[in-house]
Amino acid sequence: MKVLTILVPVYNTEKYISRCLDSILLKEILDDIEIITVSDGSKDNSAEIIKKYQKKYPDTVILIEKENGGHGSTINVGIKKATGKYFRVLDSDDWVNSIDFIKFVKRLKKENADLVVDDYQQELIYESRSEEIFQNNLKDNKLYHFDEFDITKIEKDYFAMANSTYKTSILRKSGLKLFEKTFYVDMQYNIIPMIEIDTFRYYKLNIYRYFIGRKDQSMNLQNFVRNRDDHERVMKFLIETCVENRNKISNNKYKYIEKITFNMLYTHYAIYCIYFTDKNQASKEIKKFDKYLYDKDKVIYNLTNDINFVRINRKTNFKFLKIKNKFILKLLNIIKKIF
Amino acid sequence: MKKILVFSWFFPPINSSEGLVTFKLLKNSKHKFDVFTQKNNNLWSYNSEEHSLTSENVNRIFAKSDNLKSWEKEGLEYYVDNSDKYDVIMTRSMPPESHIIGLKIKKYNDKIKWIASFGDPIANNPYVMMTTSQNSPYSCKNRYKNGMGIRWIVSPKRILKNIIWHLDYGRKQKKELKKEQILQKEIIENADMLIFNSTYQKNYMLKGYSDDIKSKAIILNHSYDKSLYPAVSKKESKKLKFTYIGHLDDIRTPINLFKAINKLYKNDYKLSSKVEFNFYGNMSNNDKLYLLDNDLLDIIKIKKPVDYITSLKIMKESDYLLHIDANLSSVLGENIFFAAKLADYIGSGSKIIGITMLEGISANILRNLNALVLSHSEEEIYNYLYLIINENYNINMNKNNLDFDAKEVAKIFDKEISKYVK
Repeated sequence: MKVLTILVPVYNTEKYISRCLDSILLKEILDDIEIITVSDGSKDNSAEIIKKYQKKYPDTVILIEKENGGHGSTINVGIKKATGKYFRVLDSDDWVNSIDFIKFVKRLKKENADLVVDDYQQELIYESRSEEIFQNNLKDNKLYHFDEFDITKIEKDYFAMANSTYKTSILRKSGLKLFEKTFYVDMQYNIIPMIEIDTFRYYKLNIYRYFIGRKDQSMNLQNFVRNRDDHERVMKFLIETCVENRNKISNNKYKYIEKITFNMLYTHYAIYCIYFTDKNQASKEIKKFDKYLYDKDKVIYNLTNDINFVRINRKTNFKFLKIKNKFILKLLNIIKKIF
Repeated sequence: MKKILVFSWFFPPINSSEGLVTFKLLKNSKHKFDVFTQKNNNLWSYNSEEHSLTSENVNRIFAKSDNLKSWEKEGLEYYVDNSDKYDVIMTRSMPPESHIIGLKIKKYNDKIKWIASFGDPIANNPYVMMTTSQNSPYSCKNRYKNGMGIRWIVSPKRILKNIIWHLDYGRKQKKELKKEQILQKEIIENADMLIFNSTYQKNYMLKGYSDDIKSKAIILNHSYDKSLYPAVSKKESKKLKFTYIGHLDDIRTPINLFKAINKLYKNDYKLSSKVEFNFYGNMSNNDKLYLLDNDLLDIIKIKKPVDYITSLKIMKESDYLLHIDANLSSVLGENIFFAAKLADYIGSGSKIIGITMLEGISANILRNLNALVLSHSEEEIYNYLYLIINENYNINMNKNNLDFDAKEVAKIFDKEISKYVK
């Protein structure tokens, strides 16, 4: 049995896929890993490149070609087909640190925790720098029981797709099925399996390299506005998951998924209150969502009153009061320039 | 066969990429060329030792002057005195003064056919945009970098200085940019044929121009000349030899490569017995200091600049050739600069590792040749160096690279000339 299945979602990444595969096809661990690449209706040469790797490593590399269904659909396929004891996602434009990855797979062979977490870093090429996301509050190789664990110790609030390796059986048991043709489904991936997790272990290995080549790749606020319907769909899923599980799971697990939901709610309100330039439309849409949240669950609704811009805008019924006086606007502009 | 007068400030014996590119093209063309150049000024720290680079169809005329302004004047006078000898004139930048001569000649004789061949863009050069600081030293944006205290931040003196800086700098910048834009526009509109080295460069420089203007443009790849490479027998060495040849500075910097090597070195103290990195040519003091500070001189060696033929020999002898472009991601979505050295690397047949922007001309060329294309990420470079040194990662370069063979490129050049000049 393979110890690890690496699912590589592929969509038009012919320029990056070799880097991704080269970093994991390492002679020391070839027999221990399975790489499932899912070409999600790629129109470029990605599948042809993967076929070359498949020919060279027939016992390790699998290529599944399917019609476009979005990132979530590739993960759904991967979970179904995986034969590895553990399961990890590696996006085809990202890669791993090979040295630490070898150590990781070797350690994983003796592992039995439900989840293994590690460190990762973002490669911000346009700024010529890296940003490390290290779990500095966790101890290397320590087995943690999630229900007894202080979740405030988690760096960046939660374990992300980039640093999480789940037991495949846990993923299946959780019934995780990500939305298809929808953005932001990684949030589903981050919370649903956690409901089934009892133990996790931290490996102090810096593995995942999250590649951000352009500034707009990470910070494009317009993308949030454009894909706001997807954001809302996933948002509602998270809220409903919280509501459904509040009394079913341990307090710790609930607080964990509530925290993720709160973080996403912050972004969701920001899309309308800050990023969306068509304020009339924004007002219409966010009022509807705000009513949905109020009707759905008062606990989470009240939590969002901790967000200043949400609380203030609620008071004005999301009218987004703005300065219309041209003179004051000009003055503000000059002050901004001077400083 | 036509007689063509070429104006190029740089040309062998001066060792400069601009001159060498032009030389290889002309040498392989079927036409005859007189190249009006100079050998007194090796501005940009080029040496002038390329005496072996001569060709029967290329005659050089050396100006007496040693500065651009008088070279421009002398060039124009030469043409006026000899105008009846030539069917075509060709001007090659950088620097752009050769095109200024072209403009003046066109005004003097509008019947003459003029080919303008571009090196870097004259206006809105992304490389220059990177080097020119857009931020005032008095701006609060730099408060962390410059360690501004609260008193200095709120000080009226700072605010006033900031306003003055913006007024003065903005005026100077705008004036300079306008001048460059006007010059570039005049060249593009008045020349009969425009030569660019890639579609990326063409699209960047001809953005917003009419189809008529765009139809004057042709793409001529930088090229290698097989006949110039000396024969070498590759020595069997235990060490993998990585080589960089060419100009480096604070913008086109190898710092991420150095950091990656440093990281490898710290994890593998035997690294110096496995690999060596040789750098030929200019390098910024900051990068040299990094090597000193991190005790990397055992593994990364800075060599003296070499002449062109020797550089070709070194390329053939190397296991891996390193190509490094500037990271212009903050000002440009794709790299538009096709470094001439890359063509020589390709001609050498050695394996190439390109550290470049993942979109753009270098990445495109290298991908088509199945070379290794890396971003400027220190981590990515580190990982691939590890794979090459420890995991026997292999780069299988395509052997079919005729698109960059000077003979093939010159054929396109000749064909285009025959279209324009009956």
